[in-house]
Amino acid sequence: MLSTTIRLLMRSGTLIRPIITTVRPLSIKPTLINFNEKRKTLINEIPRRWSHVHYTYPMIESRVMLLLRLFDKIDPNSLKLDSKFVQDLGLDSLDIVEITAALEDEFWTEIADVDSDHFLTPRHIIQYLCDKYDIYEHIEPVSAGKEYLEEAKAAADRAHHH
Amino acid sequence: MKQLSLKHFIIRSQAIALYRDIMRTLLKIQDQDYRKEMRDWARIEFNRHRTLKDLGEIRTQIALGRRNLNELKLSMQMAS
Repeated sequence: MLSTTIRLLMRSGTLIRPIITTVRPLSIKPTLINFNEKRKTLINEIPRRWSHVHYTYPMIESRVMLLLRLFDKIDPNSLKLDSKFVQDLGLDSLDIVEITAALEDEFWTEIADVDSDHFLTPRHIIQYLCDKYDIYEHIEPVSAGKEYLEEAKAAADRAHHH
Repeated sequence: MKQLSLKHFIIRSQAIALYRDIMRTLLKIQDQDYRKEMRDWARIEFNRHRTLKDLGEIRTQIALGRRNLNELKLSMQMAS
């Protein structure tokens, strides 16, 4: 049964986030969806996942930490965000493979070998998943212009006083 | 200090790929007790041959593991 209903969610009045209630099979030709004049998107460009669940950083963090706590080789009391798997928690490469397989199952995604080689702490896992789902609300924005403005102001003051 | 040759490193990644295929297959088993049993069995088998140094023996064990994994997949298909 194919369902093509799309529910729109208005957030803060200016941001419109489309939500697909069902996964769209590949056999259907992509159609152009006109949300408003400025945002025309192909329906196939909208990331396909369980979109009725809204991915946020706290949700990902709690799921990953829960998954790690349920792992029988990890002591849940000594598990922190920055505790290293091999050095602090005493795991080996096979255990990390097992954790990666469980993560794939939990987040309905594939994690390549090359990526799981870089999982040294839980924070790396969470950062990888945030990158995958385009979540950056936990990252502080970097203002590249602040230092430049100060320098420009100092230079202008110097030029003014000369 | 033991030095691993390049061939050892390549074979090590093959063994890890086998373990990952096993884990992914085991996650499809619905029965939690059976899954736990299989996972413990896989862990014991891998840990028993952890200190093998001869490349031929390692390859034999990996091939045995692959065969067991294929049997497991077949039995899962027939059960479902």
